[in-house]
Amino acid sequence: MITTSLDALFAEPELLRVPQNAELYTKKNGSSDTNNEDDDI
Amino acid sequence: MIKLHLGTHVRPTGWAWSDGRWTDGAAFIEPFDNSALEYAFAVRSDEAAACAIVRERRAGEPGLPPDAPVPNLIDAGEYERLLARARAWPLSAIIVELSHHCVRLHADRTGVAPVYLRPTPTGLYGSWDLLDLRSHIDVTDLNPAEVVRWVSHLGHYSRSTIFRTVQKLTERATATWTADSGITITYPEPAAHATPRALRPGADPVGYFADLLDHITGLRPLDPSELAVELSGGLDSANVAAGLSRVFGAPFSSAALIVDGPAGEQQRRRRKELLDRFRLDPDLELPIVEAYPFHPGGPRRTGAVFSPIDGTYSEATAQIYAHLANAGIHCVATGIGGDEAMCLSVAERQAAGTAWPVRPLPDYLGERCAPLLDHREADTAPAPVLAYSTLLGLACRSPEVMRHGLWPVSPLAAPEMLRLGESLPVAWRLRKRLLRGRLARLGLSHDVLYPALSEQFGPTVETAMHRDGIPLLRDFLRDGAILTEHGYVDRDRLLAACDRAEVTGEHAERLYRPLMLEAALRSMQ
Repeated sequence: MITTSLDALFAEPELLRVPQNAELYTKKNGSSDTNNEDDDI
Repeated sequence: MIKLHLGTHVRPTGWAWSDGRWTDGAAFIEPFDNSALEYAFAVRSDEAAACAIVRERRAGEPGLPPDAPVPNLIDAGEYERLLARARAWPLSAIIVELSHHCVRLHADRTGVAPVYLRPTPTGLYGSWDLLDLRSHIDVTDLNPAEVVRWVSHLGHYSRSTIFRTVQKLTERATATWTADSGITITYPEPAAHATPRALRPGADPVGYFADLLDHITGLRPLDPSELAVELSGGLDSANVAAGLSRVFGAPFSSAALIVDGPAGEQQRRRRKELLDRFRLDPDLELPIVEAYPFHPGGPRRTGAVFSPIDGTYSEATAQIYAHLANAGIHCVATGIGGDEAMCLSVAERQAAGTAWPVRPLPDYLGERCAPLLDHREADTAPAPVLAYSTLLGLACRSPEVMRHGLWPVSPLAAPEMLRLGESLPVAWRLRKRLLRGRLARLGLSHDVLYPALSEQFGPTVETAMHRDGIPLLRDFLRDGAILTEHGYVDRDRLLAACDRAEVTGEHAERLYRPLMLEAALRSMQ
């Protein structure tokens, strides 16, 4: 059981927003056939 | 998590539990058979509704009674409470609601093992494995927009699939089917996500991350003797292994594909330190060069049926999963989700000067696909609880794991983990500082934290395509490819792309996707 709340880490209150589609993809996109630093195993 | 076939006369009563499935005549609903899951079937006392629930077991909960799968008549209040608990289940769960002539399937927020649905005039077919539906699919009847997305590497999360007649039940969506109206998949409301905020002075995000990972890891009552971790040795899988070790003790099993060349030697060395540190035993290493994509003698070349959404290295991972299953493993832990939890936003990347290079769009689209290039993002599912790419990764990996009777567990893909990552200032996400910090606090070496060589599979794919992939693709194009014969891809332009790759010795991997799709479709015929 985690005893510390997430909010206790931060100096500001949480701000939620619905992100744009592009912000919810990383490079890998479900496959490992890219070839950049961020794609190290 | 389920397979099903429902006829045109769906009803809530008349179901029986036998041999691991619910049946009503020829109709069936079959939950995935694994000790990580539990099932229940309840009929409302007025016999106008019934529900089948399949969910992950949760540690600390009494769990469903052993006879819960046996269809059970319960009063309306208890029925609604059962449904409410299932809808609020924090782990993976799917609900199948049956009423007279109508069925509804409700997906959860985790996106593990989405159900693929194929409605027909005689009934509804569904499965967590697209391959199960192949006898009901015309492999030439593709969704042109999905072909465009596939060959242009556009990650696209939606109810659409590569097959025009098959839809996917996406996270938190509801599928409704009647024999008269067919199928409708209704998307949920978009999910809100956290945004970066400043840390308090003295805050310890590494400590919080460690505690959170332990908490998430401990949500499932896993038996270490039946558990394996996919331990590539990267930061994600190393942290997953650390969490499993802390929560469940050791030993438990591990496995990995090993990259080629000097980077592979580095990978083995780094893994050895992790194996020793977390007492992982036994361990299996499979060099990717022994099972690279489309290698001669491999399953894709020798007639095995495979799915177009299978991962690039699924021929190799299948060997690993078969080995683990034979060794008595029931659950496989993965590092899926780590990239997304530590991901920088588009704006943050631009500010940091690490904007992603843009892949060139393919120039070989056929007459049915080329006009759709500007409409590739249509019908995207609304913002999910997790990241789109996590869900795409889970959709790709889960069937591969589950075909061997194994259940995938991905602690870094928990919503709470993503919320932490999205809340952190960019400095803690850049180069996965948070994950490195956790491993540093465990005393792991600089070699583990900061590998000198980049460990990637990309060069293997490039070599594989030059050696075997492009010649195979040429053979397909010569013989008459499904993709070209039906106007999805332009034969001459794709051949020209093959020529360019062979002449320049570069970018052969860009031809992997049309090869994979064509080969998969042929295998499914």
